[in-house]
Amino acid sequence: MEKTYPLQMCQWRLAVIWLLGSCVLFILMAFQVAGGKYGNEDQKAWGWLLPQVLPILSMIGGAIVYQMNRSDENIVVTSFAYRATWVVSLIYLLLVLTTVALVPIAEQEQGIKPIDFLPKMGPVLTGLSAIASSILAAFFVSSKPKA
Amino acid sequence: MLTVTANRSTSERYRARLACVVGLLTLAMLCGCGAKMEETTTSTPPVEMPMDTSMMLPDTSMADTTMHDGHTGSDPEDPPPPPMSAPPDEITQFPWPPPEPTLRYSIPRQLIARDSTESSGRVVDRITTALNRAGIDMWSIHAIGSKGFAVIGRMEHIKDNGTPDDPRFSLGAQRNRKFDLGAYLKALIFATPGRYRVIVIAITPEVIRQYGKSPTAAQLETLLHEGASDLPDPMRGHAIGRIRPEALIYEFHRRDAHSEPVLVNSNRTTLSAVDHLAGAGIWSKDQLVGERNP
Repeated sequence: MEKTYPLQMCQWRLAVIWLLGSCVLFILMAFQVAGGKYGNEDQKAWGWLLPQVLPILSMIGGAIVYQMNRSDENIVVTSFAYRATWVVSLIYLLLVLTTVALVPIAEQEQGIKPIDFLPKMGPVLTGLSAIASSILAAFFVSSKPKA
Repeated sequence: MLTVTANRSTSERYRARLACVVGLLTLAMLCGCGAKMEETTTSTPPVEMPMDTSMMLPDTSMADTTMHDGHTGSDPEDPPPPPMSAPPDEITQFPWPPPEPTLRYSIPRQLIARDSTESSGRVVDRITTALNRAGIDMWSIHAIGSKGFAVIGRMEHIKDNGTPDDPRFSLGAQRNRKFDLGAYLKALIFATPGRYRVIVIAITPEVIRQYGKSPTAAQLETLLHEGASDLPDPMRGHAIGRIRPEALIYEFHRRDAHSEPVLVNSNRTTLSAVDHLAGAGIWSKDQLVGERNP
C-alpha cells in the first residue's frame, strides 16, 4: 500500500528547507562581503550565489501560490516523490554550502582567490541543480486528487 | 496527516513514470556536465602572477646598474640582462632624494659609529651585524653619492605591534597543518590582510630635504636585489666623517592575500619608527631613545 501525503503540506516543508538553506547561504555571503573576503569582486560573488538558489525558490513559491488558489481540492503526493525531492534538495543545498565553506581551505592550500574558487564547483552544481529542478517538477506531476 | 490510497497499481505507475523522468534527466545532465568540464579545462587560461607595470625604477640612473648575484626569478624566455656597466669598484646608487618613506628616524650616532675617524667599512659591518642579529639575513648596499651609503633590508611580514609575523619573509599566508576552528571561521569570513615593512638605513653627510616618489614593494625588492653585498675596498677605507644616520621605514599593507602591498602613509600607520626598529630587533627602544647625542 503506497503512502501518500497532502501536497500542500509537502510544498510547505520543501519551501521551509529551501528558505532556511538560502537564508544560511545569504547570511554567510553577506558576512563574507562585509568582511572583505571577495575584495572588490562582491558583485561576482552574489552573481554566483543567486542563480544557485533563486530559480528553484521561485518555482516553489509559484507552486505554493498556485496551490493556494486551489485549496479546496484535496491533492496528495506519493511518499517516494516527496522523500526523493526532500533528499535531493537537502543534498543540493549542502553542496552549495560546502562550496562556500571550502573557500578558505582552497585559498590556503592552493592559493586560489575566493572568487575564482566558487565557479570551480559549477559543473557539479549545475548538474545537481537541474536534477533538483526536474525532481521538483516531477514531484508536482506526481500529485493527484485524493481517491 | 497521512492518507492511504487504495489503488496500488496507480501509485506504481506514478513511481515508474517518475523514475524514468529522473533517470533520463540525470543522464542528460551528466553528458552536459562532462562537455562543460571539458570546455572549462581547455579554455581556462594559465594563471599568471599580477605584474606591476610600475616596477620601473623612478631614478633613470638606476637603469644601468650592477646586478647582485642574489637576483632570482628570471624567465628563460626573458631577454638577457644588460651588461654590467658599473666599474668593479663602484656600487649602484640609491635613488636620491630617497623614495618617500612611511616614517623616518634619526638613529643615534653612537649606534652607528664610535667617532668620525672610524672607517666606512667598520660602520657598514656594524650595521649588517645588527641586521643579521635581528634575523634580517638578506640586505644589500647602495652608494649615496660618493660619501654615503644605504643598507636596505628585505621585506618583513609584521604584526600590528611591529614585531615579526609568521612567515617573516614571505608574502604567502601562514599554513596551519593543525585544524583550528576559530582560525577557519575567521578565514571563512574575513580577508587575510598583511602588514609588511622594509627598513633602509641611510648613512650620509647629506640632509634629507625632500623625498622622491613613493616606492612600490616591487621597486624596493628590485633595489634589494641590485645592491652590493659590501662596500668596495676603496670606500671601506674612507673615514666616515660627519654623518647623519637615518632609518627610512617603508610600511606596506595589503587588504587580502591576493592584492599587491600598498605603501602606508605616515598619518595612517599606528606604529612609530622606534616601534619598527625595536620590533625588528635591530636595536632596543632604550638604545634608540636613550643614546642620543648631547
